[in-house]
Amino acid sequence: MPALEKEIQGKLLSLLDGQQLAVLSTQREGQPYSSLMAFAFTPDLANIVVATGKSTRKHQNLIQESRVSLLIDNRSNSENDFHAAMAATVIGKAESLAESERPVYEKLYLQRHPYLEKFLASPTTAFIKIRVSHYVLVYRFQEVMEYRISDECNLFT
Amino acid sequence: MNVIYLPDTQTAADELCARIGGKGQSLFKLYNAGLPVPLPVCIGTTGYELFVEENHLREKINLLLHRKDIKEMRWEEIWDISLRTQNLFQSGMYPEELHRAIREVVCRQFDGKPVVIRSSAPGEDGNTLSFAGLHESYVNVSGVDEILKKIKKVWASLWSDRAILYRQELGLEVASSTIAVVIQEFIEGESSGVVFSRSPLDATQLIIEAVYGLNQGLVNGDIEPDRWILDRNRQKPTQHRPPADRGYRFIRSASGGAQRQEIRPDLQALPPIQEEQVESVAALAIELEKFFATAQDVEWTIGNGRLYILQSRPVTAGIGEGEQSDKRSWYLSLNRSYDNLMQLWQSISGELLPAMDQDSSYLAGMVLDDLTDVALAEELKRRNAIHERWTSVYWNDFIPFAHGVRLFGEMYNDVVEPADPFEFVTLLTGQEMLSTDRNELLLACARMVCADDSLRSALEAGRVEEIDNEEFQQKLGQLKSRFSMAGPGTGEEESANALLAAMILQYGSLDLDPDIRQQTLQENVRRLESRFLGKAGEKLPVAPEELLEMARASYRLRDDDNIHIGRVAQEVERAKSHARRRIQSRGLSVTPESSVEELSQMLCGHVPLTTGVQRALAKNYDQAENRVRARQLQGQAASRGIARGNARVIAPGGELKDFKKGEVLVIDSIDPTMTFLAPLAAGIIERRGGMLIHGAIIAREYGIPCVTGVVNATSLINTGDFLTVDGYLGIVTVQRTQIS
Repeated sequence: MPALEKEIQGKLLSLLDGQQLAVLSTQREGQPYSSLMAFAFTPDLANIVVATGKSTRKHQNLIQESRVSLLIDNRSNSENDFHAAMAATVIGKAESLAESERPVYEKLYLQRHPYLEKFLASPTTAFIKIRVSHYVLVYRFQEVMEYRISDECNLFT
Repeated sequence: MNVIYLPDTQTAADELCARIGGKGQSLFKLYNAGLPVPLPVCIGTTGYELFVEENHLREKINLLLHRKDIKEMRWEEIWDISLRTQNLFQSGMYPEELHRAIREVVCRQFDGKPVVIRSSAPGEDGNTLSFAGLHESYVNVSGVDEILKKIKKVWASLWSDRAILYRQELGLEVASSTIAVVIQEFIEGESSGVVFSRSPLDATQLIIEAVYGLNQGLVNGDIEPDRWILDRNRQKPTQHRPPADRGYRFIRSASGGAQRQEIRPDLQALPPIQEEQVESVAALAIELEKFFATAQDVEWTIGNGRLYILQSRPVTAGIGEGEQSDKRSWYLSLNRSYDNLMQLWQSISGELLPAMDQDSSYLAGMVLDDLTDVALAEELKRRNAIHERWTSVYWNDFIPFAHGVRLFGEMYNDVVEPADPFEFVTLLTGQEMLSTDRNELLLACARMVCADDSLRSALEAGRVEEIDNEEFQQKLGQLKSRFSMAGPGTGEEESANALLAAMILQYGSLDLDPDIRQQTLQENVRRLESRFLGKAGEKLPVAPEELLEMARASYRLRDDDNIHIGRVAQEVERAKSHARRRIQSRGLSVTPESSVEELSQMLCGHVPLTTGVQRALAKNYDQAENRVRARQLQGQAASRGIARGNARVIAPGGELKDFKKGEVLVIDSIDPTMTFLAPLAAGIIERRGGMLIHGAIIAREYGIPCVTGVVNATSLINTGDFLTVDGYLGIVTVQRTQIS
């Protein structure tokens, strides 16, 4: 693996590992909508899982438009953040989990958020997998690197 | 909160050391013990912290320091950070209360007398490394406003390029680092010097060095001192070594600071101190060693017939000493004094450049066809040795002189206090440089081509030799010989012609009017020049016109030296190319990578073990990395403006002739021999960082946006990527039109 790829992958893994929450952005008819979500991720960074009540706005949004974005950052809410904080914008697609893969993702999710066991088990909760297309990592204030997971077209071009 | 400290302070020793630093504390101890030191007044570290807080400097410095990994920064980029930091301090405002407190103590204690302002960093004493020379000191500062200004400069010097270079060793962190300031009355010494109570080399010896006047010249190495070696036990000199001559001394300057002055001939014959003074200096050093219970390195001066201690610190190893493994010591040696730069300038313009040109002209006049194989092999080695010799002159003399620009920059910023710390660069641009001359010549050729269709078709068909227009051929000849425009290291006639033809055709589509460009530049330069000279008047210890002239020579040389040395390199290439042709004609295989040694061996009938072919295969330039793509890269804003265009990435030794007008040039480092690409480029991106590198200089000359110091630029950007070059903020945005 090339050195830079390794470096960026390392930065992403440590960033995701250090954070419990992500901001999920969905949209309805062009109106963006952001929500704070507990998340878990697979070690290959290809999938992120979140859970939400089925009656929520974000869930409704996801049914209509599966393309999403997540923001995960390690800011400390001090001025140091400008040089020291990192943020990853995740671009991906929400998918419902196949029954066969659900146990693996449940384990992953509950390892990070054991207190959400009851919430996850509820029939009114939707457990959603986000298949990541790429990450856009920002560090050193304005250095921006894209880390591609799949070979699909860049959604921005 | 206590900010100002006087020697009668009741603060506990440990806390005092943290508040006023080791130097301040030692001076307090000496003063309180009745030893001969001028009254020290300290502005505690709280002063620095209040100022930093008031002006939000912490995060501003952090942003500068963390733009990229310090290990990836060149010395010049570190200097840039330091210059920008100094500018932040210089333009910062004092909190009102701090301003009042300093004014009040300065007026009360010094009453209009000139003072000395020094740094005192906490933790200095406990270190095995000496911090000497990392931070700034100012002598002979008069007037409370000037003192307040210089205090800011001492604070800013916590972030001097030297300190940043040794940041790790010093544990220099924005959040925790701080600095105190010592103010003392300025003693106008008739003789001054340093004394080591115990020689670092021989524990039985005590060493004294002395010069006439102030000790500035001695400390910065401009003036060679008289040196006495004494037997420590008897405190009697065993040896006196006078310098080669005692021509100069430093005295106080009417405009503040110190200035060099010639010494009267009758004094030149005499040492600056007599034997009894040598003994009193020795006795003082021994007394100080006892007082501090460790060997001391003392700066002293004799003024009004009285011996004073200026500074006393433990004898330690200097920072940067004994480190051969990295280049930092060499970097530090670039920090030359004004006098040293003036001497360098004389030797470069009077001796070195003419001698180098003489060598290259002599080599260019030699007919290589007449040489036997063995003689050609010898000639190759000889040329290589000549090139190596000039390369070493380049590192030892040309580069240090090119840093005269830096000295000028600092003095300009002091005098003018501009909002943009790099404004001084504009004042140095718009001069006739060899590379702009060459580009004008290319443009003249292009104009001839536009007016003459037969010339155009000959160029397009690659029939350059067949052109029978004498004037045109003469210009081409000049481009090849005077500006070594023979392509990157090929030395081949055909490739030189192909490159010239491609460039002249491209230049034909430029709507550049050299006269208008020069006019605008000259107007700007004149405006800045009169502002600088008007303000410099009494403020500088050196003649401002002379300083400006030296800086301009230094700036020019930064571009021209590579062209001069390029001519010598081209002569090595010419002989190599000749050798390759001879070897190939015998059916043996060689490549442009084959070394002089290999070619010489082959000419003499030996087949070398490793050939250039193998080495060429082993060469592995960074390949674009798969999963990772750069979206936005940070560098240094080196020339203002914004540009958009397709990238043309040029790998080392790559084809320059493919470059098209309107493309963004992405390159590891622009050599001045290839800056003819600049007028064609929409923007320039360079991996090598700095405001004064060749790419940045030529970009500013032509007003092209330029970002330098972009890590991995040539591997993260691909030819054809659509780029936005932000020359205001130093940002490159990469947009791909096609995904593979």
